[in-house]
Amino acid sequence: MEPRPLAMTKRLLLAAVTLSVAVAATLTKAPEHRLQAPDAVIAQANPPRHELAPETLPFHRERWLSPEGYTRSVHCSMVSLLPDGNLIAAWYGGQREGSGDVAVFTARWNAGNDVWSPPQRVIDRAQAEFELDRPVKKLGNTVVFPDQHGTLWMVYVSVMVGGWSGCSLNIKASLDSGQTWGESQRLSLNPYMNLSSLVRSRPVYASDGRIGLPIYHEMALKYPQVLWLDAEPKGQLRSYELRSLSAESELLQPVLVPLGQDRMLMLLRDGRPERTLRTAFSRDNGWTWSPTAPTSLPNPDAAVDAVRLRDGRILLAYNDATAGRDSLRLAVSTDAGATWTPGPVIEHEPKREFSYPSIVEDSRGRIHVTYTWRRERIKHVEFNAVWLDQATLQPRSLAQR
Amino acid sequence: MNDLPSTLLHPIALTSVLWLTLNGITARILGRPIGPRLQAAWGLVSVGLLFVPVGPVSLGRWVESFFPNPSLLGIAFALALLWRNLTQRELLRPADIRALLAIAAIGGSLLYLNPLWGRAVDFYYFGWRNGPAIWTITALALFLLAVGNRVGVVLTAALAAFAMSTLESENAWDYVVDPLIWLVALGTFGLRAAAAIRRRWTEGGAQKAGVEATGERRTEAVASVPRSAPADL
Repeated sequence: MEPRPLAMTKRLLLAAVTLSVAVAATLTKAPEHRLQAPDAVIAQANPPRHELAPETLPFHRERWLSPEGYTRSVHCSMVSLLPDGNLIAAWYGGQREGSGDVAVFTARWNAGNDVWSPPQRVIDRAQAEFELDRPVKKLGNTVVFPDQHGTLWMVYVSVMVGGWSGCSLNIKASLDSGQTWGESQRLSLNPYMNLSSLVRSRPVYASDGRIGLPIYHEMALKYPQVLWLDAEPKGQLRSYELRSLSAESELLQPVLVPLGQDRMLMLLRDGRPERTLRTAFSRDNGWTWSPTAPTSLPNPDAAVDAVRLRDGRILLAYNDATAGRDSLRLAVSTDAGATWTPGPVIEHEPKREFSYPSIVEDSRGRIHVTYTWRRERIKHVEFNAVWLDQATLQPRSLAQR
Repeated sequence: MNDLPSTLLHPIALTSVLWLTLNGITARILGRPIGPRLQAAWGLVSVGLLFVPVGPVSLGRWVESFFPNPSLLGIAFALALLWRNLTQRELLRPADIRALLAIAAIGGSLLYLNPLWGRAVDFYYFGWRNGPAIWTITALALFLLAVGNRVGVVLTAALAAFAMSTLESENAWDYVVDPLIWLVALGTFGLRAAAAIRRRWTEGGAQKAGVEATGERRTEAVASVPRSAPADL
């Protein structure tokens, strides 16, 4: 039996209910951001910090971040500057990439005593299952970063089914700079049953306190996105929203570099046959982007990282090849990413892997690069701008190390 | 681990689908509609299945993990089918069903195929916060209610669910459409289109056969065949 059409009185009543619900939804949800306004955000590479006078003598040092044999395989380190001037690094390790025993580790570098703490196991598969209240097959890429309130945030990848394209992102907060962590919260980020959102790079910070975390989508088509997080004090996440960037497909792992005056540079890993590091530019704080353009630098479908130094130059760490990750090198741009000058080679050994660099500049002007060393350990290279200038002038001799 | 579902929407959706599936399979095996007692038994079984352990969690929670955002259009569609199955009465009229599937097909295509169009317009973005999605859904609901279509009520329910954040998602579009109802809508319209084409093809073939059988060339009959019919192609 077919129901009768709605009576007019019912229609009017339901229309009133609909309008009331719409008003309630508008009032209960956070206001929409107007990113189009040129002065609405931007865009510092790191939160405000106390800065010291630059050094005048060259400095360069290498050391290990992860102890030898701590886990059989390690990958995907990320180093971040804390508000107190110390550093924190995060990476994942286990039997191999994608195995069920992979856990996320962090270590802290204390500027006072100049040492890395022993690794701290923050979360593993079983703990993630418990905190997220759902099956978890494996863990992956992780980033850590502070917000303006002093809360330290961790965003990490978890996979429920399949490979990395079947993963989703989770977030947790620490109120004591990474000593202890709160429970994980799953972020629901895309309409594809919330699958295939990944993270790799550090965020940018808006002047209104929001955090713009570059992430990327990998299922079917690969493309960059920015996840805007609105954090409250005490480690509470007020809201979040995701914006897909209008870049071409098969470009992933975006790195955002604020250039000042509402301009932003994006560097992209190239998953296409061209195998060239690509860049895009924004003049409105990352709301809209130019078409991507190839740089003069190769990219073997591998992650890069870049940071704007206090002297205005942009420092890039990348794999200097179109295939393989056996050469890790620095490059410098003095014209906001338009052109690049290859610099010193950090690592080069045929058929070995040196990959996934992460760069940060500390309050003394020291530059810290962490990266995957043969998938066995996470290495930490520290140098200053004076060393960088000298090494950039004679990159070939340094490459022979 | 907490084994309880996050909201009532998930168990309602999953129970409906399980119940419909069990009823359908049994009717197919028996070759006749099943009685109310067996239907009630399958209902209880469907609810019980939600608590069957799958690894560290229950089946209900496991499905919720993989399908965190069942849309209100999808739930309404499943409930309408279930209601018809149980009571032999319609919860939604054919016009309501058509509107529901049309919204799912168009809305889902805009959302899920957006990356194929270059992402110049990011439709999913409009669903965050109190963005344009709220008033787009409101306008659509008001229009449907004005013409007496019950899907307007479903859209109002989706808005209410969004306002109360009853699903994992904080995006309004996820409360309206999900990939499953989108695929069901595309499949339904695809089958209808295929049936229409086949019917026209058959009609065209029959007319042609009629001409050959009588040996007469009846131009007026040929002219009445629509231009788009396969007989003309």
